Amino acid sequence: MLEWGTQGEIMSYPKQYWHLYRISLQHRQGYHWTPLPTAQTWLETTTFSANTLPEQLLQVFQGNQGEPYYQALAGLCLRCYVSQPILQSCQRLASLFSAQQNFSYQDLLPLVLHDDGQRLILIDEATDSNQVQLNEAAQLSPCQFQIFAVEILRSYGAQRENKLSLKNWAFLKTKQHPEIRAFLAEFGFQHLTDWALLNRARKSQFEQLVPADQCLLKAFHGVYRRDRRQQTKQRTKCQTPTEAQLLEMDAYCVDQGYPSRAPKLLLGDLHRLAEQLRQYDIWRSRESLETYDADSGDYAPRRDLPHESLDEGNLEQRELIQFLHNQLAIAFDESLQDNLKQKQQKLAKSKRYKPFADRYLQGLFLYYIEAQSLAEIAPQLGMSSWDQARRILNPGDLLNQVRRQTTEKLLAKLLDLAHQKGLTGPEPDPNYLSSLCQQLEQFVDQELFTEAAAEIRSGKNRRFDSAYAQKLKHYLTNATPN
Amino acid sequence: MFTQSEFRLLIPEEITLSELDYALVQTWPAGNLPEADQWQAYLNGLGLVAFENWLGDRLPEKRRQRDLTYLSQVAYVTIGDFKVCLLAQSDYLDEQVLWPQEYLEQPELAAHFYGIVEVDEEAETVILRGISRGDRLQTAPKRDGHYCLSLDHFDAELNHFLADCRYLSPAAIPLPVNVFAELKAQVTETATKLGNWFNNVLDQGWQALDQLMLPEAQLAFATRNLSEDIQAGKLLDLGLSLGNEQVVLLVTLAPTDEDDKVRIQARLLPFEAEYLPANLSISLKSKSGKVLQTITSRQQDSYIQLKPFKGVPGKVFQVEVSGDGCTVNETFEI
Repeated sequence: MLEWGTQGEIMSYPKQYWHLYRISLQHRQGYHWTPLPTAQTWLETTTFSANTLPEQLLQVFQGNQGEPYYQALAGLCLRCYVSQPILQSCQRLASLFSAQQNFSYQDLLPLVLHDDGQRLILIDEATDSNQVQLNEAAQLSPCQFQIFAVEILRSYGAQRENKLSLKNWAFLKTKQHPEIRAFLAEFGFQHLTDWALLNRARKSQFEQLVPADQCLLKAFHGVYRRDRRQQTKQRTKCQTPTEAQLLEMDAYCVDQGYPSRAPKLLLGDLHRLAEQLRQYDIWRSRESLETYDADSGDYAPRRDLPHESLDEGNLEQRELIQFLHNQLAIAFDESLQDNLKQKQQKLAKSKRYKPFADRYLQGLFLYYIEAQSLAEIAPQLGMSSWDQARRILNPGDLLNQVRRQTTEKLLAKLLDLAHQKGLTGPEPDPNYLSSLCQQLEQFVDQELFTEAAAEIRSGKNRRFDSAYAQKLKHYLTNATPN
Repeated sequence: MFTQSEFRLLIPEEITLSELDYALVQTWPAGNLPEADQWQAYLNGLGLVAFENWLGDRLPEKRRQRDLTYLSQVAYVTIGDFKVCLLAQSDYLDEQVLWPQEYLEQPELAAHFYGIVEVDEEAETVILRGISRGDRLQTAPKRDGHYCLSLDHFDAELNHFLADCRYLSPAAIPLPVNVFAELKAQVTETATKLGNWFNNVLDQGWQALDQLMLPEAQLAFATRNLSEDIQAGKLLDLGLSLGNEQVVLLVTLAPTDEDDKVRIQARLLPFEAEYLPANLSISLKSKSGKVLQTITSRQQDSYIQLKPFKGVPGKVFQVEVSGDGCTVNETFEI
């Protein structure tokens, strides 16, 4: 957490309190971690302890004592701090709505990460937005537009029992944000038919329904799931229930004491039930994100893994980093070539995808060099759909495998080195191994892979110029006959 | 708790299922279970097959074995010497997992690793959402017979799991032990090892006769019968109620003609008095505490002793000395 500033003095406050995550279309990831000098300067004048910074900042911000200017600056630092959980919440949501074609986290950011950190804001519940802006002349004027980060701070202060940490409160509020919910209701399950959606409803969704709907869902599952499980012919997507199935479902409901419904009516009721299931609210958790700490009898924020430090003093750390850099280039190169070969071989062995094995490199060429989407590529290579193009070409999986193999090679070398230096025995201690893996990953992700992943997930802004992509493009240009 | 790397948030660990995989899982019997369990067994089965394929590509040198016994709740696969317990769901939008307690606590069911998978039965894909070492889940809260786990309890970075399998041995990940078995082991630990006496090794507290410094008068009641006999005594403090009187528990061992069997005699002598206190009893008890014989002192006994008995090496027995509300128990292993 300590770092040397440009003037040579030590800045002791963690970056997350004076760096803001802001939307940025110039950046591949869709956001940029921007330093805010005003926040930084003010923070350095305080004598807060780094351990309880959120609490102390909140006290100043909500205090209504002292200069409004300093209050607003404390608020700015807090806005920086909560910008990270807001971002991560969006990333997490997108990753859990796993059908990647529907939306990326970048689609969610404009709804919640809209703070540009340029204005000084204070809370004033007398106004409509609950927020007022402080201008250079120290005048307050109501804000037209409510900044979500500030609203998080206001609501955190307003809740009586602060069982959640500010960070986790931010997570929760992001998930509950009305525009996020509306977005998810429209796009979250867009790719699923009503039948697929009904089919996957679980106990926790079931428990939120009224008894009549619970019976209907149970009837549906009893018949529909059974038939899907026993499908012997070519597997299909979830189809509309057949008349026979509907009659069977009705019979079950009648048995449970409900009036009989003709198939058409029943179908209508099922559609209505599915509509309910399209709401994100019925799927998300009601529980606290905190873990209950049995020792203290209280809720505590998540604790990290036991961490054993790698470094033995700066010199060795630098040598190690140098070593890793050298080895990374080699390992990456080998892994990339290996995986391209392996992918083609695997396709050639598969009954279904054999005809596409020799179009694999061409597909990647179109994807990376001509920046075409999978949907555009599919017809050019004789693939039936976006879905098939994704299964065959799967740039995400290629990246994943290259990363895995690269990391494995480096890990083996690192363990060897550690063993030679007497840092570990022939069999590493589990926590040491964990720690080593994590640090190695951070390193390779920072150097190569996070950027490459963001490229693939950037959706409409297709641009492949990460270090990974450049290497791949180089190989593709020299390998394909085009 | 784990924080997911940005990479993993963008690129989850995804596996494609083939028609063969579905056909295979369909052959797995789910018995006469209600529909909810059948569907769960189906999802667990698909998750298992996907995971096995995934393992086959990445750890091809390790032997794999599956266990479908509890398929309606979890699936097991052993990779090399590591046991993995898997649970499938069709989504993890609520970021929570309720894991039935017994799979983490009972020694026969406990695994080295616990994994959660997301099975999209329609799209024919499985996402490995995370794997955790079993010992890391033990501290999670419990409710209604389930561990209440969150997604963050599981490491989404599956490369860590692969590294663990490659570089660690199973002993590195402690499994819950059978508590009763552990207690039993502990009891035997503190038992006096009579076997060592034949090598002139005495446990702490036990002394050879000449070191006990018994007064002349008692020596007469203490001497060995035969030269092959081994004898040792321990001073027992019977507490305040008997006026801090000490007695000596004298144990004599003799070999027998029958194989390994050892003949044992246990005698109680007063230490610095002429007679034993009255109503002092010595009992022989089995390992489980069943009383096999009891002898009680009268008014002016110079000593009392148990009837000699025989036992094979390894046998555990107890000798209990009690009087006036105070009891001392000595455990022995032959």
